[in-house]
Amino acid sequence: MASSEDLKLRRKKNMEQFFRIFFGRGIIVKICLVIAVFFIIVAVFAPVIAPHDPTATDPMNRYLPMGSEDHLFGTDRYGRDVLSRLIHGARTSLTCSLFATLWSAVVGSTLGIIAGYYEGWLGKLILRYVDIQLSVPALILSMVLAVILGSNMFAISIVLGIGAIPGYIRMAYSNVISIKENDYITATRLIGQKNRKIMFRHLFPNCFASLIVIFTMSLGQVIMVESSLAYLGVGLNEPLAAWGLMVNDGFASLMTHPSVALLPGFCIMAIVVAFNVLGDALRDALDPKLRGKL
Amino acid sequence: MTSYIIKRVLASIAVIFIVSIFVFSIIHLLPGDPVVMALGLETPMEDIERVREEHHLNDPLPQQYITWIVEMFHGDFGDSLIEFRPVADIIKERLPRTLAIGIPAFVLGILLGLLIGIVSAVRRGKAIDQTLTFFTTLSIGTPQFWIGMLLLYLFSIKLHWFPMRNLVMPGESILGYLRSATLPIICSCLQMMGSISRQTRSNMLEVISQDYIRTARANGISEKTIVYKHALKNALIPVVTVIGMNLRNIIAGAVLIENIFSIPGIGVTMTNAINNRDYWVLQGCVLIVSFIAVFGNLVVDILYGYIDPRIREARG
Amino acid sequence: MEDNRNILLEVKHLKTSFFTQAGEVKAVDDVSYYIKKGEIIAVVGESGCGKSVTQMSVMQLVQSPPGKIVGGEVIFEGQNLLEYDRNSPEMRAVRGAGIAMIFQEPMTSLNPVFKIGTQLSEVIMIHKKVDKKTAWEEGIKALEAVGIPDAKSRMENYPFQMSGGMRQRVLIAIAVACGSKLIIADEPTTALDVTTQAQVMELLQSLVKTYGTSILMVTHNLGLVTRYAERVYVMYAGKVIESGTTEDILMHPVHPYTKGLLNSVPKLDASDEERLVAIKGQPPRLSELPSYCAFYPRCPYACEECKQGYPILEEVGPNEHFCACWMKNKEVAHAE
Repeated sequence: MASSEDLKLRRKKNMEQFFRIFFGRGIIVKICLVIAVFFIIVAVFAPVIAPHDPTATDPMNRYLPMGSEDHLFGTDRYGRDVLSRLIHGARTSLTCSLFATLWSAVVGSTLGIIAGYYEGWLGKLILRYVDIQLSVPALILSMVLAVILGSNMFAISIVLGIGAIPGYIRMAYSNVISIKENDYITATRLIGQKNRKIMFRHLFPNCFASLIVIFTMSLGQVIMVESSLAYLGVGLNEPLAAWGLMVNDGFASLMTHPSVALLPGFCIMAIVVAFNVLGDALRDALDPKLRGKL
Repeated sequence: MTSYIIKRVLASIAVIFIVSIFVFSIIHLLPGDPVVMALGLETPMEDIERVREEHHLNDPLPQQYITWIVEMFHGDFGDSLIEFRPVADIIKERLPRTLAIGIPAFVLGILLGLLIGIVSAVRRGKAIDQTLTFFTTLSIGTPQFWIGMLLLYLFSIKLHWFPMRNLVMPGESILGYLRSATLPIICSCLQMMGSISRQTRSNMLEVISQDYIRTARANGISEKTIVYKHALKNALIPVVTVIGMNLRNIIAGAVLIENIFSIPGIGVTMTNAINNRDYWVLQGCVLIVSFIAVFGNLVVDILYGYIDPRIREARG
Repeated sequence: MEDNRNILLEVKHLKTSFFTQAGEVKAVDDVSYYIKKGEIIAVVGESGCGKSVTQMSVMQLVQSPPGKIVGGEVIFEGQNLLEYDRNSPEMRAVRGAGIAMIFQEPMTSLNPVFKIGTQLSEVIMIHKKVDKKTAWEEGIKALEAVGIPDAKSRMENYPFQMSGGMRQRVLIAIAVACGSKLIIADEPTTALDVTTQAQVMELLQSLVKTYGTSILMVTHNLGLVTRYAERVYVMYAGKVIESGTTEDILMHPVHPYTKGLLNSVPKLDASDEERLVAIKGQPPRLSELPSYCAFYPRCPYACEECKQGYPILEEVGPNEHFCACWMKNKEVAHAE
């Protein structure tokens, strides 16, 4: 048995190795970390940072150019301050996708673990469901669901979460399948541990590394779907400040005032890329074996 | 191999069948009465009732479903509530436009993705690998509607190289098609290219460190043959799965692409049908699109068996 | 040394290092050995002692970066192979045709997606410069030569349809088909069951008799060494620490490590107390080697004198029995 001193030392070494690999991938990971943290801070303190009310219209000051006095990023076609809308858009997008990712992670990985653990009819049913859902193009399913459930933030989070569930199920399922046959799981089974206990004591922790990774990555993906829905007019609604909506709104004036549409799109790209890169780096640092699988 | 293919085909038919139930139930959950939405709120009650009767909308749901399926086998997808014409005609008219963008984008995405993936795996760690990897990371993380807009802004509005809208079909004029379809195709293939090249790169790197590659080297096989024959065929196996998934994404992407480039294809039709609750159009389109996705997966499965003899054996 | 014309491969002062973040790791440090035509020799040692890296260096197959051959000569049939670029056609011509290599894991050493025949005939085509059809025919003959029944239909099989022993035979068949003069067998039987082990070893031995092939076994299985090898090199921490005829090494080991290795083999005739004596401690990390004898921390006979530097190989008996140990001439080292 390892003493607690030993354990501490090993944990410290593991942490060191984690950070070495995580940051060892060059400048891009660091930049992405800064971007992600930046947007999170902006989202949390949006009401404090934003110079204007994001929904306040001003018909006298429509389409002010970038760099205008009092409106750093200009105004849109209703005269709303673009910077304030971008700041509040970060809050909307991150809240929605964080909630969506959280609930789908919990539900999805639980279903995946169940499917992997009980391979019988229950497992088959869950896996079949995943196949069916994936046969319907994801964006179209989300559009239909969004219309059914409504376009407030809560409903959209549910819709986004449903879209993310198959990924979690598959990940957890394949993880469980590969560790289930390990001797120590058989051993715990043989000494008569309860199934539920085995699942959550032993299987869940083993999926944890991949869960963290896929969580980070799907955070970005979900933001992308959210903005696509808003862009198509079936997601979050005006006058809420959401990046996808802003792009849609600015599209009409792309010829004359490109920045109104291009700025929010740039924010979406930055945050999605940042989360994807961080997910990649996490994967390499947490579990190099996952490379190529996630 | 034959029994393997037959098994796969049967499984796909089953999936299509279940998907049709799934699609039907979800669409009938949509709020709002489609007939009222189509005819307007002031329409007299008896007119509404008559239209509902005509479209079998008063039947119980299971019976509606059966009617739909049975008539579909006779080539009748129902009529559009808005356009007052058969859904089959609408699909026949618009699907080719979607395919005119989707198929070239799909092929281009695979080819470019494989090429980039192989190049960055062979030159791993070098400047070209880092540049390409950065580029693919961007292409995966950028929303398609925004890339489309950026392309439009740069190449149509600023440089006037390509028209902003009005897709010309290749049947009408090849040159016109090339001019009008280039931007949508590029926009549509970027994400797929990114995910395929990522997968190819990491598979190649994994395969290169396998024992059988060491054996090949120890037997004096040249590095080129090792990379392009021995490693590639193994690395392609998981990539084939990614290609299958991307077929779905290309079709889903059509919704966005057609919206940006004003192409009246299946994607735009579906968006409108959702907003207008045009049940039969929506059901028909979603089913056709799902059918393409499932069919694509079937092809992928068969390819899989062709590339990997172990799968053929195990599933055949 | 023996008559030079009879020497097939001579490795002189070979040094291979891995350059990692933690610094230079000397995986092979000044290793010299030779093998005569038609001879079976063995290189033994614990895992991680550099015995495999030495062979990979001979073939110039060390992963680079981080690995690099930093010095020495590998003279095969009078030609120093290290003068060739690792990817040059000359070097490739040696691999497979001159020197063939068989690896530990037969289950993963053949490409899973190509037929046995395709893999076999590909190598034959390269080295013998024959067309596809001829190569296929020769492949069948080679499979027959290594005792694979029903060779013709076996050519159409994929690796997953064969057992481990069969696959190992296929790998040997490649060597046979290309007329390899030396077969380096890196733990050739570790992954196989005992019966198959014996069959594969008998096959290798028969090649020596039939074709005059030389065989270099890399192993930690002293049973195999006893039965098949004529001479033995014992490696520890990247260096050869003792070498000599199999009889000398097994019956009169000089180096404390060799003795430890022999003691750790289960013996049926030994009394209970001495039946199995493991060497204390772990093999050293190659990145943290001391500037003196690397076995010092585990050596039961270690004393202050041992810390004076690396011991060099010196002759300790007739028949080229060499040993690198400061204590080798002291009585204590010979005490049984």
